[in-house]
Order: sequence, then structure tokens, then C-alpha cells
Amino acid sequence: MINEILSIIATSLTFFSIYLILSLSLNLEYGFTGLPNFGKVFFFSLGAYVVGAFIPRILQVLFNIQEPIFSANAATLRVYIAKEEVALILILFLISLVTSMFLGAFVGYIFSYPSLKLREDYLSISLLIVAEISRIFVRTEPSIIGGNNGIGGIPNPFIWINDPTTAELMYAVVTVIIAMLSYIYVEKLVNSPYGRVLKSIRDDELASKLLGKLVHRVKGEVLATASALSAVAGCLYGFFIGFVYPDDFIIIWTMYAWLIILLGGLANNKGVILGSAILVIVDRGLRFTVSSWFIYRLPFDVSYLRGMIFSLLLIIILLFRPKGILPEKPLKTTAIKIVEAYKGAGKNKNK
Amino acid sequence: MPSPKTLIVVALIIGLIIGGIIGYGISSMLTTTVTTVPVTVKEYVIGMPADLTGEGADYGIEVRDAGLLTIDEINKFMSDNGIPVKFRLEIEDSKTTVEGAVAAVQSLGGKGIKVIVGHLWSGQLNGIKSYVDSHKIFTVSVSSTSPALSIPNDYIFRMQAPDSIQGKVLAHLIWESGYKKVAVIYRNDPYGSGVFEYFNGEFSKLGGTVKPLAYTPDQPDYSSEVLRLSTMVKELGADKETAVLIIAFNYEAIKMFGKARLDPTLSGIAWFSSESLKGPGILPPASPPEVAEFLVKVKLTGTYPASLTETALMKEFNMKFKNKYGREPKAYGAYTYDALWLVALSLALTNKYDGDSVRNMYMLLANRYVGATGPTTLDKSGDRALQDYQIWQVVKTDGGYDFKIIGGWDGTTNKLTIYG
Amino acid sequence: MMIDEVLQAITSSIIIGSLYALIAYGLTLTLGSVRIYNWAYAEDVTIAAYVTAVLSSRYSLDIISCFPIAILTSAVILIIIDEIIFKPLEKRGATGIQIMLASIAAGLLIRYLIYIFASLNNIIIIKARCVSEPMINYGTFVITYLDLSIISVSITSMMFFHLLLSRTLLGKQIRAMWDNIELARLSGIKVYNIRKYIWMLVGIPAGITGTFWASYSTITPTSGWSLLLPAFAATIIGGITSIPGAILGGYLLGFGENFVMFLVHEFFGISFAYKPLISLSIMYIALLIRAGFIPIKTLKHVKTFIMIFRSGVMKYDK
Repeated sequence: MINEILSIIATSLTFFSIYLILSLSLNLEYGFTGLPNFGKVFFFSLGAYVVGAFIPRILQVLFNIQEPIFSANAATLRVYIAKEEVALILILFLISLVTSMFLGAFVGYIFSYPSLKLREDYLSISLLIVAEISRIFVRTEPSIIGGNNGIGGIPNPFIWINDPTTAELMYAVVTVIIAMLSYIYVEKLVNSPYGRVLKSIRDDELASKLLGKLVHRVKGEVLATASALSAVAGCLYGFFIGFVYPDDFIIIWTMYAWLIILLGGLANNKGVILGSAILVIVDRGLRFTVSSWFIYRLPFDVSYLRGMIFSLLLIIILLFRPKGILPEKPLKTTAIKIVEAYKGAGKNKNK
Repeated sequence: MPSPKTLIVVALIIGLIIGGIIGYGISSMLTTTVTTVPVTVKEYVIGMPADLTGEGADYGIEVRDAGLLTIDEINKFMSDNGIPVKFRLEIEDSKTTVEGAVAAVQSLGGKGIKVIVGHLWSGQLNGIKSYVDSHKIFTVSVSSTSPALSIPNDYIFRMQAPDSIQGKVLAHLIWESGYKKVAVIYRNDPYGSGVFEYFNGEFSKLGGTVKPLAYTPDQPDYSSEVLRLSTMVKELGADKETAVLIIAFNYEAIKMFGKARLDPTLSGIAWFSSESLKGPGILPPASPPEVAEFLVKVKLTGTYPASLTETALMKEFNMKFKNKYGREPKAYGAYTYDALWLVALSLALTNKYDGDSVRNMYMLLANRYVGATGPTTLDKSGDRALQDYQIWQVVKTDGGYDFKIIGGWDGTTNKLTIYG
Repeated sequence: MMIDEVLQAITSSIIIGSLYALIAYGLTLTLGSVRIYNWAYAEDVTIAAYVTAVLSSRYSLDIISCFPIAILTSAVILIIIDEIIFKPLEKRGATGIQIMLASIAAGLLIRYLIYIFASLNNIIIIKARCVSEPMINYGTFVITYLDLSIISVSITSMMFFHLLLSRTLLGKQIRAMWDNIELARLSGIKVYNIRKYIWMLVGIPAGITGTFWASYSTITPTSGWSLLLPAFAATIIGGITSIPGAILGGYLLGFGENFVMFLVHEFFGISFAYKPLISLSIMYIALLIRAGFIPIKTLKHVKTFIMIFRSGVMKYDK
């Protein structure tokens, strides 16, 4: 029994961290800078595709596997041999994280060009279209990750641990650490004069431009950073499932991210933590109610009721807290921190 | 005094945690042994992930309904015969996505479930594989047939033979029916591309010509694909030696049939299909009569994995299903029936609720069992080894339209026979 | 490449384009007058489709009678969502994106209700009973009565709306709201009261699309959702609040899926599995052009086309 509880906690924590990193990136883009990104899943998928495209190929070569790369036997072999190669897998995991980060940043930067000229509404739909185009392309072109079959045999960095629950817990700890690092990074990024620039772009881009802020460059940097974060989340997801499948990267991921930041509070990273926690707890919690109890008491399946409760909860939270649960707080730049240290002193914004 | 906002937040979190704990509490209460004088009946929980929402909802709901019917029958049998075991089905929605299946299976695993029988297609199976293998959760899929998942020594077993066999059967069926050129329209997913790959290999080996058309599933409209299919048939000659093979799910197929029936080339040629279309979904009342007319006109013929002699068990199952739900079962109902019976028997015999014991007992029993779908002998990958295929054709009857069994493929002799 | 195939491709483009145009139309109407991105519109269309399918197959109602019932159902649902969700949110000061999220949640709720209803009655997949016999028959090129009615009803309803918006008092009030809600309110237009009429009008394209979709194709609870992304793309490419633009976007999409896919396959051998990619890429390029991202001076040979497109659209920009 205790094993099961730990397992559920581990897997829930992993999803929590992945959602958190993804939503932090969206909060950076929309909450702070006002860039509505409806193609979040595209940048998320980049990280997973890095894992799916490179790790099996590297392992095929290193382990000298003769079976065709996309076959099930090759997948089994990869995982089987990886159980012995502790250091190798951990190194590959770290390399994947770094590669995802850079790829995400690069692609994010490229896609910042259309967003410079595009108005809000155009930007949102354009990235949405990009996400769909990418999914169709990857699922149809077999050379990337096996097309619509997807690719498996991606060993988890902790596969050498014999007890599965312990391995899941270790992986959960790693994802939580990465999530916390992302949180600290984003918080540092926005609680600074740079963060003020972001908010100024969000609130009044023209005024910001007039005041001499390099809006285009900042937008590019924001998209690059946020996309790097999304790709890291995707990389973590790829290793978690051990199987990369293009049809997995559908709009629901983007929706989750938007849900979390709108529920938790825009431009408030603590709110993002809260939102991610709520999403995971509600989703898992609802599933945890015993379905078989309902079988003869409901004429239809209880899953539909769960779905309805989920959407009702969403509507209720939005009705009572349309601005999100936690409000936006002023940025704690160094200057303000110094000022606040002197309690009672006047609010002198100039250092 | 903390602000009202903080209070709401805290209350929300506490409420959710309490809810989760209560849920867990109820679940653990319900899995303990129920003591009835004088015998203690042991209750085993079988998990069932199924696509209850999303594009696969039609098939998922059927598996669920078949599952509930079967569990009732099993429990009645056990209690009628004084066997002190009882079974409970725990159903989770896998939402026709890999992520949904992973969440469903992880949730089932978290409830302590060690045995799963579910409607899991190949992508979903791949997604849950690492979890069920590492946690030693015995998993049976009633619907996956992709050859890519034929993996020995794991915890995933499949009730149907991989489509490597069905592809070959289709090739022989079409070739021996006199058609040397085939235009194939197939679903671009593990199922469709799996059947196509093996069909293509075998048909080319027999000396035939194949023109493929892969389509991306779950789109609103297929007019352009049907147009292209028509052109392909013309390119092949559109003569007595040309045929069409469709490998699709029923809701897409109906859209395509609706367009194809108006096309003179496509309605003047023979059509063949894989097993996914055999079922009430493509006949009235679910689909319009003009589509059924078209299917009769093109003599839609297909394969269906099932025992050649329709077992008494299959007739019985179909009757019970119809009595309870008022409709015929579709493709996977009988497979769910057999899978659940095998798993229940394994659990009853081994009397231990862990993946390894059930797995070993299942492998022993399956090689000696004949279910509604015929003998369930396993191959080395844990999939069905001996697979016969019925050859069906859509015909017009007095009461409407129906599927007539016009032949069969014997899995042991690898020979095709057309009756009459 | 035979002439009948080309004609068939073009016909399919027009038929599907009309349906997309209708949905895009309804979305634009919503966006322009009440400024709401209503994602629950997808479920609205799905419900209209189910109503038609059930009425025509179980109760043998003919399609023509199904129209008003489907339209009424759509309108009522839109009004309910508005009263329960949109209006209260607006009054509490929610931003556009938050209202949009609420509409997504509402759509989800409706979809689960449809699942419950469909699973209980075994109609997860259903098609309306509507016999459509061929009217024109030339090789592969076939037009049925249903196809013709789709095209004609769509165009008629668009014309009807055009007349409504330009000639009637209600239309003038809506157009006033279109430009500037505050000014409209100040000049005495009862903005909140008109909303009910606006939803009823928006229910019309939803009802028509749902009815036709159930007759032309099969529907499942997720049918509306699969139509939504292209419809939104069409709306935004058209210029978000420009009705002719949305209609053009819808037809562009229809052509992208059928005629352009046909051409691209003929000349470049691109597989049909890439079909959604082709139509979406066209939408993306159109979006970039519409937003002025692709500088006109580098597209010399389509310069004229773009100018016509822009000036034609701007004339009707409300």
C-alpha cells in the first residue's frame, strides 16, 4: 500500500513539475510581456523530439544494436542494455536537457520575428497554426521519430534502480529540482529592471518604445527564454514516458498552461505554482474516486461526471476570481528591496 | 488575520486534499475482504483503461459495456458454484491520447491494481509500457494489433494477433478472388500502416500491384482523399482486376463511403476492408441506407479475426449483449469477454494478486483455452498465435442489411477457403 | 489531370468552404459585436448537428424542418452561456482571455453532456437521414442536391446577414457596437439588451452548419472541436472583425484542403497524409500577408492580388 502511495506521489510530482515549467514560461511570455502564445505545445514538443530523435540513435550506435531503430526489439534492447550503463544514461540525460534548452531558445528566437509585427490576435493564432503544422509534419515524416508510430526505448535516467517506485521518486526529485531552478531563474529575471521593461511592453508598447527600450530585442529574448524552458519541460516529459509520439502534442498542453496561469494569477509566479498544484491535485484526485462504486449507481460512466466537475470547477473559479487566485504584485527589484529595508523611509525610486 | 483570498486558497487546497484522502479511504475500504458467513469471499480488482472520450469513444464504450456484462457473468458463475472469489472492474478514461492512458494507468496503479484489461491502442501501449513493466502490472489489450508491439517477456499481452497476419490474409483474399491491382486507402497511424505494410509485402510477393494512399485521421472531411482514390483506381485500369482496400475506422469510413458512392469509378469496383469496419457502425440504423446500398453494390468484403466455426460461446455472448444493451456488439466486445474470463480464471486459480503470478497462470491457461473468439493460444510475444479470420461480406437481407460469412482463413493451415 | 477531377476538386472546395465560412462568420459576428472569443461555439455546432441527426433518423423529420429547431437550440444555448458565464465575468472586469478560457470550460462541459447523452443512446457516431441524389453527373464530377443546397443556403444566409446589418435598425445598432461600444452605449443603444438578439443571430450560422454537417458527414461529440481551429484561423485571417474577410478565409481553407491539395499532389507528388499541413500552411502565409509581415515589395507577381484583397476587404471593414 505504501508503495502505491509513493508511486502516485512521485508520478504526480513529475507532472506537477512539468506543468510548472511550462506555465512559468507562458507566464513570462503573456503574464509579464503580453505575448499571447497559443502554440506553447510546439516549443514543448521540441524538447521531446530532441529526446526522441537523438537518444535512440546515439544508443543504437553505442550499444551496437543491429535491429532497425524504430522496431520494438531495438527499443527493448536499448532499455535492457541501458540498465547497466548508469553514468552514460545520466550524461545523456543532462546533454538532452542542455540541447533542448538551446534548440528551444533558437526556435523561439526565430519565431519572435513574426511576433514583432503581428498584433496580439494574429500572434496567438499564428503560433497555434505552427503547432498543428509541426505535429502533422512530424507524424507524417517517418525519419524524425518514426512518424505516426512514435519511438520508444528511451531509458529513464534512473532505470538502473531496481525498485520502480524508488526510480520514480528519484526522477520526481530531479524534475522538482529543475522546476525550482526554473522558478528561481524566472523570478530573478522579472524582479529586476528587465522585468519592468517586460511589463512596460505589456502595458503600453508604444510608450516603451518611445522611452528608448529595445522592444524588438526584448521580445526576442523573452520568446527565446520561454521556449527554452518549454523545451526543457518537453525533454523531461520524453524521458518520463520513455516513448515519444507526435499525436501526444496537441492543444491540450497549451490549454493546461493557460489554465494554470489564468487560475493561479497572471504575472505572479507563486500563483503558477499554486495553479499547477491545483491542476494536478484536481485531475488525480478526481480519478482517485473509486469508479466501480459508481457503476450501478450512475447510468453513464463516472468519467463523464469527473470531466463535468472539472469544467464546472474551472467556471466557478473563473467566476469568483476572474483575475486569478493570487494577484499581481509589484516587482521586487534590487532598488525596491533596498528601499523596503529602510522601513519608514520615503519611497525613493532613485537609488 | 489572513486575507480572505488566502483563506479561500487554503480552504481550496485543504478541501482537495481531504477529498483525495476520502476517495482513497473509500477505495481501500472497498478492496478489503468481505466476510460472509461462513466463507470469506476474496475480491479482486481488475483495472480497465478505455477511451471513453475523444475520437475512440465509440470503441471504448463498447469495451466498457462488454466488460461490465462479463464481470457480472463471472461473478454469478463463481457464486453459483460456491467459488469464493469476486471481481470488480475499475474503469478509467484514457481520452484517446497517450497522456490520458498514462494518467489512467498510473492512477489505477496508485489504487493498488495489479491486473489490467483494457482498450489500449498501440501508441497508448507504448506509452504505458515502461510503467507496467517496471511495476509488474499484468496488462492485456483487447484492441491493439500493431506488429510493432510484438515484444516477448514483458507484461503486455494482446488478445488479437498482430496485423502482420491480417495483412497477409488480406493479400491472399484479394489475390485469390482474382484481383491483381489494388488501390489502398489506409489510416496513417500504427494500426493502418501496420496492416498496409504486411499487405503490401505479401501482395507484391504474389505478383500484384499496389497503389497506396495514406490519410491523416480525425479530420472533418475526406473529399480530396476520395477524389484521389478514384484517380488511382483509374490509373490502375479500373477493370475486372482492380479493387480497393480500405483500412479505416468506421466514422471516417462512412464519410468516405458517402462520397465514394457518388463516384462512378469507385462504385463500379470491388471493395475490401480490414476488420475495423465489421460491426453495426456501418449499417443502418447507424449509417444511412444509401451507404449500405453502396456497400452491397461494391460487395464490401473483409476479414475479421475470429474462430471459423462460430463458437457457441460467441453466439451466447452476442445474445446476452443484445439483451442487455439493445444493440449488437462491435469488433472488440467478444475479445473483452475472453480476456476478462481468462484473467478472472487466472486470478481464481493462482489466488495471489500480483502481476507475476497472474502472468504465469495466464500463459498456462491461454494455451489451453477456447473462448468466444476461438482458441487463445499465445505466441512467444504474448499475443494471440492461432488466429483464424472470418471472411465477411455486406449483403442485403429481407430485414435490411447484414454481414454474411462467405469464407474463412484457417490459421493453422494458412489456407483460404471461400464457401459455396 | 482530367477536367472532371478538377471540377470535383473545386466543387468540394466550395462546399466545405461554405461550411467553414459559416462558422467563421458566426465567430466574427460574436467577436465584432460582443468582443468575445467564444470557443463554446464548436460545441454549439455539435449540439445543432446532434439535434438534426437524432430528429431526422429517430423521428423521421425532414431536413428542412430540422433547420429552425437546430437554430433555436444553438441560440438558446448561446444565450444561456452568456447569462451564466459571459455577462457576470464581464461585470467583474475579466479580460478577453479570461472570458475565452471560460468559454473553453463551458464548451467542455457541454461536450461531456453530449457524451453522456450519446453513450446512453448509443449515438456516439451518427449521421442525419438525408437522401442526396446526384444532380449533375459528369465522370468523377458529381453535384448532389445536398451539395447545391449547402452552397445556396450558405450564400443566401450571408446575404441575409448583410442586408440585416446594413438595412435594419438592429443591424445599425450592432454595427455601432462594432466600432465602439462605449460610444454606442452613450448614444442610447441598450447594449446588454441587444445581446440576446445578437446571440440569436449568431445561432443561425451555428444551426445551419450543424444541420448540414450532420447531413453531409458523420458527427461525433468532438466534431465541432475539429472544425474550430480552421474556423478561428479563417476568422483571424479575414481580419477578426471583418465579415467578408472571414468568409473569404473560410473559402480559402476549403480550397486549401481540396483544390490546392489536389494541385500540389499533381505537380509535386506530395502525399495526401500532409493535407492538413497544406491547408494550415496556406492559412499561415495568408496570416502573415494579412498582418503585413511579408513585405509586399518582395511579392511582385502577387502584388495586384494582395492589393485587391486588401482594398476589397477594407471597403467592408466595419
